[in-house]
Amino acid sequence: MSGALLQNLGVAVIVLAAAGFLVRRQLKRRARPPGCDTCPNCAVQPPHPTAPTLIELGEPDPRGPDQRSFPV
Amino acid sequence: MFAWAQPIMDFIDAVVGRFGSIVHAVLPAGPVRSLIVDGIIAGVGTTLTFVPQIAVLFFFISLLEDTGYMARAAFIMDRLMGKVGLSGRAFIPLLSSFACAIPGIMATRTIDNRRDRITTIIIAPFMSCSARLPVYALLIGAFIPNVWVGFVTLPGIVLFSMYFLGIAAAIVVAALLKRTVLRGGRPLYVMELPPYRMPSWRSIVLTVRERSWLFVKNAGTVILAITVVLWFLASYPRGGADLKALETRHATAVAAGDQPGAKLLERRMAGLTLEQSFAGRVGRYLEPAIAPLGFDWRIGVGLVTSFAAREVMVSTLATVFNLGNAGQDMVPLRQSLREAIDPRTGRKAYSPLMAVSLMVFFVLACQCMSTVAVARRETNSWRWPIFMLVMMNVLAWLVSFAVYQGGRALGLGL
Repeated sequence: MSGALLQNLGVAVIVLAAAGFLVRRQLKRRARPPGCDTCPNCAVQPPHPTAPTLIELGEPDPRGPDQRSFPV
Repeated sequence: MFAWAQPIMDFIDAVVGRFGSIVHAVLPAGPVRSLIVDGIIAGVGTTLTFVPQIAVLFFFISLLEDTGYMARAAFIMDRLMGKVGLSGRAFIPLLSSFACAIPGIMATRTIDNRRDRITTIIIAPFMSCSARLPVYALLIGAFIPNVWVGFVTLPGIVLFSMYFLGIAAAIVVAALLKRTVLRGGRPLYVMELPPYRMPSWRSIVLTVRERSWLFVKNAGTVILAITVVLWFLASYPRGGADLKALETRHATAVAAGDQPGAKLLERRMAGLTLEQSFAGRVGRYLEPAIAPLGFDWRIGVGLVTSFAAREVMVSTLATVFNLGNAGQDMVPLRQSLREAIDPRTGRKAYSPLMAVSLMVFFVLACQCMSTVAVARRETNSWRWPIFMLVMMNVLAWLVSFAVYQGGRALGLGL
């Protein structure tokens, strides 16, 4: 097998592996609802219950913040 | 931020360049060497150069959070936000958006009023997130001279202006929305201010470490994979009658011992291969739409890939420029951008005005598909995310056009 053919084969394997990684990642992301964990730049963990902060004063929503949705 | 990060950036840049040159010298010529040096090392290595700036940015954000200043900032901003029809409650989501728009949009759940919440969701992506920072840093480092203006440097002023432009655009858009389609009264905002406290250095170090590591991890996985695919798209298909003719002339020049002529032909062959590649064709296809903004097809390729993640623009340009470098030693991307030649005119392809126009485009454009997906979920409708996507990208094009053409009309084109 010639050197050029080996090089082309090596490149093909690497490119296919990279494309496969990106496609698999995209499919995984589609399988779950979008959230913080879908952002490539953000270190925020997926949503979890947090303690109320001092800023959250006022009338609490009886359904809780996570239940709200605003169809427009 | 610029001044502090610059020495470490230069060091990483030099290490990446040296490493690329060593690998270039060791590996035999061929596609594997091109993939490793022009693709992987140039793309991922150049992206890693911006880790120090990410660390400095998050150091200051953590410092503000830990001292308890954030709540005071929300209180101070309440009056200003009231002028555009929003309350101080929108401030924390907007501030979070400087790190990333996704947690910012999710933080709008604390806003009770539906119209206020939608307005905040739509303006959150205007805040300059950390993914835009490498693009600003690259363009400022390449084109803005490092001179002092009073007690600050010009690069610092330009960087601040980009952050300020995002805030100003958000204010204008919010004011327009609150006076038209999302009209409503100003909500009451009540809050209790926590006491000031000494920041926890451990917490700050952990945050900076976590954010920096995430950036490095991203560069080693997603950006690496995109870079490899992009290298392929920018290298193939090879061939064509023009290229074959150049290869024949190159072989003749080598046989005749004409080294300068052979080098020149190598550069032309590399440029032609890049132009005829899949990525080159996409860039050429886009060129008529982006040429009025001062961008050429190479920037067009970067704009397309930046829809995957904004910072991919940096690795894309690094790959494109190294492929066009005809297998010479690796040249830092900032230098390549400064020295790039427009083959049609023979003059420099890019100017400081183009750099400002491109940064303005990045400030205002909605390129992050994850942000659009989260806006869809949070508004429970496609209507507002699509409005956000179209409005932001049209605005980005118009403002970049005004900046570039206005600058040229004022004689700032070079």
